[in-house]
Amino acid sequence: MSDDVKAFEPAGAPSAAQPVSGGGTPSEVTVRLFEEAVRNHSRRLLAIARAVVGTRASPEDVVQQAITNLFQHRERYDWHEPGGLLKRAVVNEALRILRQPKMSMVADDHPDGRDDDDPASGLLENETVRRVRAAIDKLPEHYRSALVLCEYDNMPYAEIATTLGASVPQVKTWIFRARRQLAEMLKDYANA
Amino acid sequence: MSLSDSDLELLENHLDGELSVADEEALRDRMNIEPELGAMLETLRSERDARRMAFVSMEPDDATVERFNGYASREIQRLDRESFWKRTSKTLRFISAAAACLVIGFSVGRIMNSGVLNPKPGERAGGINDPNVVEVVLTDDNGHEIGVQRFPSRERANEFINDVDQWHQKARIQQQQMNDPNVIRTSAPEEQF
Repeated sequence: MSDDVKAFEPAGAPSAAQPVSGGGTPSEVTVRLFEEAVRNHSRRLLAIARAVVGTRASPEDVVQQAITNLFQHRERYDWHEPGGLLKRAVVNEALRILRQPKMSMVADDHPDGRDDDDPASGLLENETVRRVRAAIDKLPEHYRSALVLCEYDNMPYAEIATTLGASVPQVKTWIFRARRQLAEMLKDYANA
Repeated sequence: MSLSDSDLELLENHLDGELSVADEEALRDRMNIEPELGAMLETLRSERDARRMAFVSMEPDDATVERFNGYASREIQRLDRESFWKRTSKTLRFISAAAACLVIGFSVGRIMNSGVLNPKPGERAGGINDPNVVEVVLTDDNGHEIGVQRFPSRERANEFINDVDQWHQKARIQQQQMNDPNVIRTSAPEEQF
């Protein structure tokens, strides 16, 4: 499982806190840690947001809103271990946006895989990626969220359950069904 | 190759690293005698690799990440400044409110002590320095000052002076009558009914 995903504790709770680099007031230190956390996790956060919202919203907007929400309550959390907290905030914000009745479509940034891929080496790979992404996009939002946290972020079931506000058996069911549905949707392509 | 859902779930849990040690051992024993389990495990692995590729393809490129980080950093700084001013203005509001309370309390105390709302006997609510106020000094028969009566206008003061003069005249006449030996009184005034 990923090393940056650990249980976070409210500020003030006893924890194995790392020494804070640099001086400043507690508020300044918190802001600095917060900025550092965002910078370190932004790529993964944007990818998770993209996976959950698909093309129904801009992942930048989702992550930005999640960050803003967290920043309002930054004093409550320990920013030495922010990975899990940031991912939870992003997934929740993405799900909140998906629940909104009206949604405009945004352009898919890399519909055929990464732009910097070598075109000669990746035609088949790109086609596979395109089809898998399209299939993932058709999954119900909770299946998709659970799957991305499990397979992309390597989160344990218990943490996914906490992030999505569900029970562990429920999460296991969502992930299992998501995989089966994807296998079913991609059956023809895989056989070909 | 067809496996039951529970076997598929078992294999997926194995790949997710969520099986207990005992379950891992049991699965390994089964895979030794059931080759289709091993084959299915490979299929699941390749499916998983394809999904992982798809997820990785959703990662933004470096330029997007840089742009986003810059924007996020500016936004955090803006929010921080905003919250600083919110805190500062809250403190200033508190200080201003306390100062206003002190000023109001001080002013009320001053007003109460100056007698505007609670005039001293013989003083007019308009204040002792009011230019329209006319003071009439009352003296006894020996010319000693026994009081000061204030009036809002000269006319009212003159009326008062006239009233007092008339009263004095009446009192003087009565006194003279009381002292006149030619006047015969039938009874003392308090005996008259």
